[in-house]
Amino acid sequence: MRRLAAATILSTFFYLSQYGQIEAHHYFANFHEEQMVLRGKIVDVFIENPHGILTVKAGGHEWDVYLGSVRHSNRVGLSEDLFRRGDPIVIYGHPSVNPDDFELMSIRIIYRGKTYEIFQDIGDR
Amino acid sequence: MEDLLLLLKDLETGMLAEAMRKSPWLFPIVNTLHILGIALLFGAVSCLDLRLMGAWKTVPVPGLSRIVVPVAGTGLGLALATGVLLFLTRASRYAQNPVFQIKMGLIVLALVNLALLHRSAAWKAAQEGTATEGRRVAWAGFLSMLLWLGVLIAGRIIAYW
Repeated sequence: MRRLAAATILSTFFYLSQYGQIEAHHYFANFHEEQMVLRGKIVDVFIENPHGILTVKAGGHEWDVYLGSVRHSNRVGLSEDLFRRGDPIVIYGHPSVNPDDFELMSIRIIYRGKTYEIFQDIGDR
Repeated sequence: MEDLLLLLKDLETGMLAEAMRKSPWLFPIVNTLHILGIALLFGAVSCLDLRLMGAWKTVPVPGLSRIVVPVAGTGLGLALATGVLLFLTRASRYAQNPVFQIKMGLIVLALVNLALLHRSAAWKAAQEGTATEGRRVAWAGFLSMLLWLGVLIAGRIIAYW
């Protein structure tokens, strides 16, 4: 039994160690401290729980821009009807620490001349 | 593998998954019930496990398990049902999350441990009140607690992975 417990724990660590690259989202620590500006075109938008995702095409890559919950998105003035595919959009946010993710935690969205404040700046954490 | 991924994609585009994502309140309600299920399950299970490990030796096992087993069963049922709904919202993504896979593995191990214990002669003796101690039963209690705690931890880490 003791050996079984030890084997279980060891194999769990071994299994996890194979995933050196974290598939980051949801967790502020997985996003870079420096802000960046993303200028691109809207591909798709999902105002959803547990959090919304805005897909933006910029520089040949599709970025996943993370929004808040349905309630949070509605409160800051976002809805799925607001966005039109192909429209230009500007997003301020913190990119994932892994540049290959092309993920962005949104801070501010500028769309059709209007500014939407999403999350307060997490740069000072 | 490809077929499984397609099946999961179908599940997450289904009506139930859509409702879970689009409704402002459904997700938090189901999430709350999931936590309630885990609280009932782990709360009840840990009482019996500690007893099997040698705590409260004056408390008879049959009486304790009569209370604790149905509470744990209700908790498990609630956690499983709500867990399926939470999984559906992003089925393909969760299925590929290594922490989610570990959590499912730990649940299976915990249930196997439970089934083995319930089939053992030592458990039957404890249920009849003839023998309440025993290394085998104590180890089963220890493993049960370790595994369910692992399930709890893995469950919480999924969102941060």
